[in-house]
Amino acid sequence: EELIRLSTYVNEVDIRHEGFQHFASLIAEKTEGRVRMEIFPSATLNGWSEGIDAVLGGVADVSHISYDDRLPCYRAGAFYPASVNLENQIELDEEMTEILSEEAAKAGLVNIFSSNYSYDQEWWFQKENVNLNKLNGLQVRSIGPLVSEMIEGWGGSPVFVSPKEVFQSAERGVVDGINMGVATYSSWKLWTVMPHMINADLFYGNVMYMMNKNKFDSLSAADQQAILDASRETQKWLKPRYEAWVNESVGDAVMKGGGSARSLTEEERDMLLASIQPFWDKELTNTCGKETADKIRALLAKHRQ
Amino acid sequence: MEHIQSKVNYIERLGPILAGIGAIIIIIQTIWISYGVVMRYVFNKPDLFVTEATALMLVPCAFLGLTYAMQQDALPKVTIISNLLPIRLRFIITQLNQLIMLLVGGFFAYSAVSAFFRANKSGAASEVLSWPRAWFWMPTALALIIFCIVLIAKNWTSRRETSSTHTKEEK
Amino acid sequence: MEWYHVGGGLLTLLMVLISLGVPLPFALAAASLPFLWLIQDFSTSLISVELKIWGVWVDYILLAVPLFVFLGELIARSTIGPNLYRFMHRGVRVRGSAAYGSIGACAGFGAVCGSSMVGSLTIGSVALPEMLKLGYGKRLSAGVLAAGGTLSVLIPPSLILLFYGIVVDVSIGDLFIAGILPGITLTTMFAIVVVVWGIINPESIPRVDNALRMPLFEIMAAVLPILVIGLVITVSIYAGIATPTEAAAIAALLTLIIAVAVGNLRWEGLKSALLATMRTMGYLGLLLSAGTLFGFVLTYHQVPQQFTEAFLTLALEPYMVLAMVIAFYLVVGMFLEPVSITFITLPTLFPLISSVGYDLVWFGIIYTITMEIAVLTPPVGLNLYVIQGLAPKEIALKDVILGVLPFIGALAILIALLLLFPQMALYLPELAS
Ligand code: NA
Ligand code: NA
Repeated sequence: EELIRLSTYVNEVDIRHEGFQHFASLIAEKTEGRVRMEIFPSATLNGWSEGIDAVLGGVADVSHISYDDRLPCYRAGAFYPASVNLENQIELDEEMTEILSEEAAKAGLVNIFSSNYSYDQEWWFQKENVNLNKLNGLQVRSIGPLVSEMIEGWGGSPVFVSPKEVFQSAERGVVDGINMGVATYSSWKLWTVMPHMINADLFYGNVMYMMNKNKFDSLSAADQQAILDASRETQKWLKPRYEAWVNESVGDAVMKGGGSARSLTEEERDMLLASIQPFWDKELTNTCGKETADKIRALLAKHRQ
Repeated sequence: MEHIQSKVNYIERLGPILAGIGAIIIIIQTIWISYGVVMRYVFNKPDLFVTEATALMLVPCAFLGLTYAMQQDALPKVTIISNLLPIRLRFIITQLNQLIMLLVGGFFAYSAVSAFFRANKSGAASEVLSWPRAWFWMPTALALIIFCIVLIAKNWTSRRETSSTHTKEEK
Repeated sequence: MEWYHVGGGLLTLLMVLISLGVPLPFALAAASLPFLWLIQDFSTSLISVELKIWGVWVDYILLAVPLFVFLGELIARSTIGPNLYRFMHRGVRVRGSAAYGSIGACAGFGAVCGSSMVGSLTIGSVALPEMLKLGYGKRLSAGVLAAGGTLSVLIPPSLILLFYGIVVDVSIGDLFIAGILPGITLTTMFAIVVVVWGIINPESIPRVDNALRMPLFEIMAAVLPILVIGLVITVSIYAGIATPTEAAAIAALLTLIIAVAVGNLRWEGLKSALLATMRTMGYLGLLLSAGTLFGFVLTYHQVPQQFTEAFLTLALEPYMVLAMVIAFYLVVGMFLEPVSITFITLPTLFPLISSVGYDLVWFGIIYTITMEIAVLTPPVGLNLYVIQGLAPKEIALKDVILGVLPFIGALAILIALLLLFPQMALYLPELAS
């Protein structure tokens, strides 16, 4: 029996954790017990930024992979501004995995699971009806230089707040707004303190779960295929459940907490995208090389909303 | 023996020096974070680096005081049981304890050194800043290596003192 | 190897090493490593340790630790601290006023701080040297301060309640409000412990010095600096000017300025404050990393998960379930620190509590009290080591452990009160909604 340890930052109350359990049982079934997957939630094996080190060092066999310098194109592609239609999400993620597989292999990794649910980093504000492209000096919690670039471009001030201080910062108004994935926002219970959401759909934003390539290659071809099949089935299984779960938390927040949720109109979205696209085009070409960058642009254009 | 002792004395000074470097880090963190709040709250120009930079500095800071704490006998331990033992046995147990500390310290130091070299090669950076992790692994690894060296030096000194008092008593 | 062999072996080895007098950070690491090597080869174990060195400490909220230790050392080494305690001793004509003052300060600080270790460190680094100087018994002084810090996690804001709310999926606002009344009750009970202590053991509390009255000016000079620092921390957090960690930095900088300007702090004093801060950081650095490594090895062998499953198979009556869960947390709390316990065991155990019909907000408060006990019980009791580390020459670990026992008793009584009167926790949240 071969044991695979999967490490994730997602905690056990998150619907995505059920997804991993489903994944594990499918793997056991499809390999007839030859491969067993153990799940370590809540970052008990490694933190958000340490996924690559943990997988390459053998502490975990599979982990969420953060946007790291060793995978520059994965990093740039995840934040590339694009309005993506998630109807064919699974095919989209598979094509992206294919494009990035060379870079991943060079780092000693192979993507086995795409968690492209919070496909977007959404936006929340203390006040209702904030105009995303006219932030008028509002201070917004940013997650990285890429998002900061956008906030500045729209007239706001990006602020970095450590994850453990986000709740209190939102509650006490240290920041006026927050940029974050919907699932994490919901499981951190931020709706109660910063209830007005703008659904922007501005990037691809897939978090990949990659496996140590040596470990993957050591499995038989049949078991490798079984894992990939189990992954595909799990993603199909989880997609509607995940969406229902997110919609429920958004709905709850809007009904109970006096919150609001609105999506950008197509025009607003196009305008925002146009304002940041030139910067990212250059960034993507520089990090991925022209050929790969063009492939990514073409793929995202194909799945455009 | 005397010239070895003077070298050992030099080595033992490394503890307070490392603690001093850590103290400078704390001063920088105090001032930088306060500056960051003023810039954000008063001037609406948040400092983009302060959160991550000060957190990164905390890693070496957490280990730079280890040697000094050991020298000051500030490491928490339970001596209720070992105090009941006869002196001869207590000496052996003290030596055993120091050996365990040396092995653990050595393993942590080895881990930090290997992390330094890998961080150097991979160039892995943090999320926000593009500061290489190797910068922060270097002082951390150094703090752990020096801990081991000072522990050996301290053991040498204390054994020498014990044996010299024994000789005096015998005379 | 079965999980209970690993769990039992790991704990036995830890106990042996601690009894031999191996310093705790090294004992934790030395007990963990052999069991780590059972499932990881040498080079992988190097990475595991690397992740525990890096991952534990590259954490912005832990910055509050050196900053608050530094702040406390500045107060203690300038005239600010001594003046305040002279006031506590002579200005307030109540026997034991410094002990009550410490409890009050811990409770007040708990209203801005969410971590019990930080609470003990901050108040302890100011109060401990002064209480010892005033002639309070070692055990009483250490006990009051180690236990007082735990008020930080019951009085909101609280990191444990926050993590509990996240894991269990109940309103964090409700949890915070629910903590208020039990927090006030506990503060009162801690004061009662001091009263009883003074009756049973009168030499632990110095007599009031009736000879001198303090002039008003001196009283102002004694109280004002602390009031200003406390106010800056509270206001900056509540008004949304700063996060708790940032408030720690601002407060430390302000304390430095006040200590130099009016507290007679000179270069020597600053130097010794900084070195003392690094001395405390020196053992906390390895202690937290080794403690996390210990929890990591247990988790890697699936010990907490399997233990929880074994427990679930017992299928017990509701009150028995509750009693067993509380007992479980008291035992686990001896060996793990609260944040790990919360994320490792709570997800599997809380559905059990709600399935037998108990309210999860109410249970959250009980859970938090068990976590307060956890940081006070050896071998892994962070607050014990924090307090002992503040005066390693004067106070033995034994004194701290014996000193907190009566306060653990108070915590146990509070659990009993909550079992008898659930409204203690539920009244305010119901009122608020
Ligand atoms: Na608190
Ligand atoms: Na404990």
